[in-house]
Amino acid sequence: MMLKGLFLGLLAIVLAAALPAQLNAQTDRAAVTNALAKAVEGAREAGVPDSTVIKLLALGYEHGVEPASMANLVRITGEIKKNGLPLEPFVDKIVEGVAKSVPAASIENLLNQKQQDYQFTRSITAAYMKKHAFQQQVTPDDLVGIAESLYSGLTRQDLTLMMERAPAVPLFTLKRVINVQASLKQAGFDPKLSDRIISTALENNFFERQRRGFVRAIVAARRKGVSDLEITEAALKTMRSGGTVGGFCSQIGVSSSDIGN
Amino acid sequence: MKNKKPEVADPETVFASRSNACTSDETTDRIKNMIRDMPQIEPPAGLLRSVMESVEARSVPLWVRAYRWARSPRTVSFNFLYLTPAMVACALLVFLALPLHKKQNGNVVLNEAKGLIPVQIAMDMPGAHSVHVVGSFNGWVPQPCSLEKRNGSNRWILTLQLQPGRYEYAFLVDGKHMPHPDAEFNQDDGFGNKNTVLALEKEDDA
Repeated sequence: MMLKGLFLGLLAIVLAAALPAQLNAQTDRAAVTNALAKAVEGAREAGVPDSTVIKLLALGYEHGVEPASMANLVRITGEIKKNGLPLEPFVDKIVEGVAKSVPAASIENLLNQKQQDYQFTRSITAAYMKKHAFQQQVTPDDLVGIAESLYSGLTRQDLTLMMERAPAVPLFTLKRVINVQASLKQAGFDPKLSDRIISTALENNFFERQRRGFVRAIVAARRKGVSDLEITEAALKTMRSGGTVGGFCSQIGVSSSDIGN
Repeated sequence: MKNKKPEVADPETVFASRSNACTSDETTDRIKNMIRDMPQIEPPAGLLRSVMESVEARSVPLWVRAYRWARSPRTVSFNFLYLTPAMVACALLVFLALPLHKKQNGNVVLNEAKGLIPVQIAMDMPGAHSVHVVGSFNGWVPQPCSLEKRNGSNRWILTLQLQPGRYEYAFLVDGKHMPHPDAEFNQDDGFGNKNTVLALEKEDDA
């Protein structure tokens, strides 16, 4: 009899403890569902395509991302769209992060940092366009190409300096030049010589016509023991004479197979 | 084991049984006579029809029949003489499908749209057992993009068909993430690794 009483008492205690917890869990779940629904609605209102929202939700479900975290990621896509930034690199980064099992909080931080970098790039690009009285809008491709160089070794200061020094050239040419500069920096090319190559290329519109294989040729030549100075002299000669990347390769002793063409 | 004692019939019980048997025969005869003397009664109308309806076979739905068929156990018997042609046919099928699989795997078409640019991704990786490529063109999932090792060399190659644009990718060499060692442009992925950048423009389609 006493044992039965003890059991009933324990059961009452467990139920008393469990019931509020269950109610809290239900309330939390409803709040999360509500937050996700709001984030989706907000993203759609901001102009994020339905296909993108569906893609993200499916991705989150597939990889078991917490709905609350998914709500934050979807909300950020709405912010990006509202800020007039190209959505694709951000969505790609979410897909990459989720696929690589990166914690959602780290993806959020990265997206916020990326937003700031893109806004910075947009402002200096707009200043460049204004300075040279260009009327056309900055295309998303050009903005992405320039902004992403910030993750390839160039600093904001490098980018600002290049924009300030660059003559009036089409933005897609400037984008190529910036990427070549980043590649040379990654390769550990002499910075002063690198600056000479870049300024000569801009003066002669070299990268407006071509760029394919240029940096790979430099990397291959350095592997063969050609010095940075010799490479620079060959590059300047090619650019000033209206030569091609092929001609530059022959001057520094690099064949097409060396650069994978 | 304990031996069981044989049962011996009790003479009184045997007699009683015989007496009961006689009584039973008399009763049966009496019942037979009563039935014979009963008046003939016509069966009610529709009795035959209702009986036939109740014993008529009902049609069973197809899925129930299929389910029953699938659940009922079967015995399969074979001999090796009959099995040989089937094995030869299977081997032939695998032999024919293998080059097709290799061709598809070595030249993965990720997008059917026009204006695709062929991109060959190649890397020297001695000692590697498997090399996959993951990137923004395949949702960072390695399954459809494994590189093929060129015979007699350490070179791993994969040809992709991509639309012009900017892509990031990395290799999974025996499961380990790494950028292209010979790429001209790598960048931080923001998560502690490096990705290779592939910028495809229309001029690259040459």
